[in-house]
Amino acid sequence: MSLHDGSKHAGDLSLDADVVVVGSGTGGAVVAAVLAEAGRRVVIVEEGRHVPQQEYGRLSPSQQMRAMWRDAGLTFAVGVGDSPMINVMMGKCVGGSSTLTGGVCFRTPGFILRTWREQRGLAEFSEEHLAPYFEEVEREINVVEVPAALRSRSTVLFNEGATKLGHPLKPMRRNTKDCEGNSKCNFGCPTGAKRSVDLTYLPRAFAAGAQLWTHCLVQQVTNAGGRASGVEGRLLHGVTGEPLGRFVVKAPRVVLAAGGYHSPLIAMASGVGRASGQVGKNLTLHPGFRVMGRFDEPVEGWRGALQSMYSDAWEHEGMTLTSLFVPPGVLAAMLPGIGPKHADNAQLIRHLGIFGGMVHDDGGGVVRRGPGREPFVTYRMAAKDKAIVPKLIRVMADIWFAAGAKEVTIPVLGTAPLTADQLRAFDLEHVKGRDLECSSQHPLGTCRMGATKESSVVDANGEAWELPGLTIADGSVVPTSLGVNPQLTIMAMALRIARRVADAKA
Amino acid sequence: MSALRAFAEALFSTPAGPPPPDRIDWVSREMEDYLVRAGSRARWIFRLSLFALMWGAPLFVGALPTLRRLPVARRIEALTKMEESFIAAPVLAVKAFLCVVWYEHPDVQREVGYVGRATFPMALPGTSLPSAAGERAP
Repeated sequence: MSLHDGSKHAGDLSLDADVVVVGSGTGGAVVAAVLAEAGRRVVIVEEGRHVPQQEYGRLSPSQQMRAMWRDAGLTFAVGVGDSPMINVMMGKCVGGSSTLTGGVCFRTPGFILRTWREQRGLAEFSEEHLAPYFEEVEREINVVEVPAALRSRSTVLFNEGATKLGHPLKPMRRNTKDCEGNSKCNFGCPTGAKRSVDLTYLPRAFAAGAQLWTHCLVQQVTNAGGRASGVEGRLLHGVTGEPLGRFVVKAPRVVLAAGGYHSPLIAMASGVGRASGQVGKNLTLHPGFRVMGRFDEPVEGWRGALQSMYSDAWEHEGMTLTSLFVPPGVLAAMLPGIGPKHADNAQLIRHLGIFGGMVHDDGGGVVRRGPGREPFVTYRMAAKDKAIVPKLIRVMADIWFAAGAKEVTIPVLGTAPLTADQLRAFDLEHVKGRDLECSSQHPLGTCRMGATKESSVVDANGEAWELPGLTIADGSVVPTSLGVNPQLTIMAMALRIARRVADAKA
Repeated sequence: MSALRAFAEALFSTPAGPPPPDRIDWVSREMEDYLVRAGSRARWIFRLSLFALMWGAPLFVGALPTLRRLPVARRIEALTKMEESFIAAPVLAVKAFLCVVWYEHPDVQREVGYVGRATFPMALPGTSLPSAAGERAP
């Protein structure tokens, strides 16, 4: 038996392993598979529940948020200074955020790797060095270009507008096989076409003998003689998440893969980072903004792949445009109005196209221990990043108008849809940060990798500078923001880290 | 949850009047389930937002709190003004989560022309399913 429900375990729980992996998402699943196949006894502990694909594929969006998203979708980074409040999407389930992504796969851009080498001292990180890791992951999760036939009408229209303005979009690659274009990736693929790690790396880990325990909240890494010796925490109730018994996993190798918010939290609780002061800092989010275009014709953007095209035409200015779609309830929530006015706007839902843009941001966020079990996270948007936002919104709006949209809805709270003339007159440059509607799916950098223990939390192999035996292998070690979706980078880095651990003497 | 019901009646009113009571019952149950699963901090944020709009919104139309004491038409007027004000955040927060749930009801989806796949075929433990004329979850 590979999968165990911690919420159903009576009393306390004690386990022994060679390696304990904290978190079963993109980083943890890769590490668990590699190390189990290398002959290690691997125990994976996961705070969330296990929902099999056959079940989560049938849940409605709000049910999926309740069952598989952290805080049921109510996770935020609090804006500091002239910064927006940012809703941050994260998975809390077996498979982690890989079950919730749009499946977009980009390799780490070359200019980012150059920054890592030149400014972070990570000399090995070249495109050539990482290529075999990317190739292996891409094979395993089936990264393919989204065919034109799967593009939604929303994306087709946006591409028409972008092409008219001289910036045609590019096709995306995603980790899918036999995608039917149900536009539901962010809420659990209904057909299992998205090759998330619960369908790829975790079955491999189980086949090699790994055990996974759900509903296990790790509170800290234990320490014996200055070396990591396992983890301890609480078993959780299956619905409310209230703490039940205690659990301990004894293992000479601990791998934290709990994500950009929770790996630093566990590291802090374990005394890591006291010397460098870097744990929890340098959080980047790729702040994202959506602009909707309203057309006379029905768009029905839910027919087709959730994400299929992107534009890097403004990459040099720090912004990337990506196609997306959201369920009608989310669309309705973004439209202004109460009562009959809201009902009128809701009738426009099938006439809306939607496109997103994200900012390639500097690390302005900090993860701190909060009053409860969740961290308190603040985000101060750098002035240069905030200055990009008006341009980002105008670029997307102009493309919608070029495509024939009659009005656009911009991500400024309380703003009614705008015509082209109204948008030109709108003072976007002076919108306060708190009035921007902003979301993120990419928390990175809070246990960043680097060449010195003064400037980073882990070394180039993912080993914590301050606690031998502790490895970190998730988005938190990514040294800077990427400007592109990070799933593939996280998995390739986790694979590289896992190989180094496997090759090391036990 | 009477505060949530008062808000939902106003938010989802149409020119024909407030939505049917059974639909308000359903969305209230779903929201209760949502909040149970959301965790203590999220519950606290949601309830604080609801409290703020219950007591703050009536002031925008010169009425005394709370919002639920006002007739639906006055609630709509008060919430509209609050949504357009500099303290719109509580209205937007509660509206966002109510909308996510509300638009999953099969009748509502039909009304707005949504024909997406895979809504409401199953229940989470302790979660009710909506029923709609001619369309029941399998």
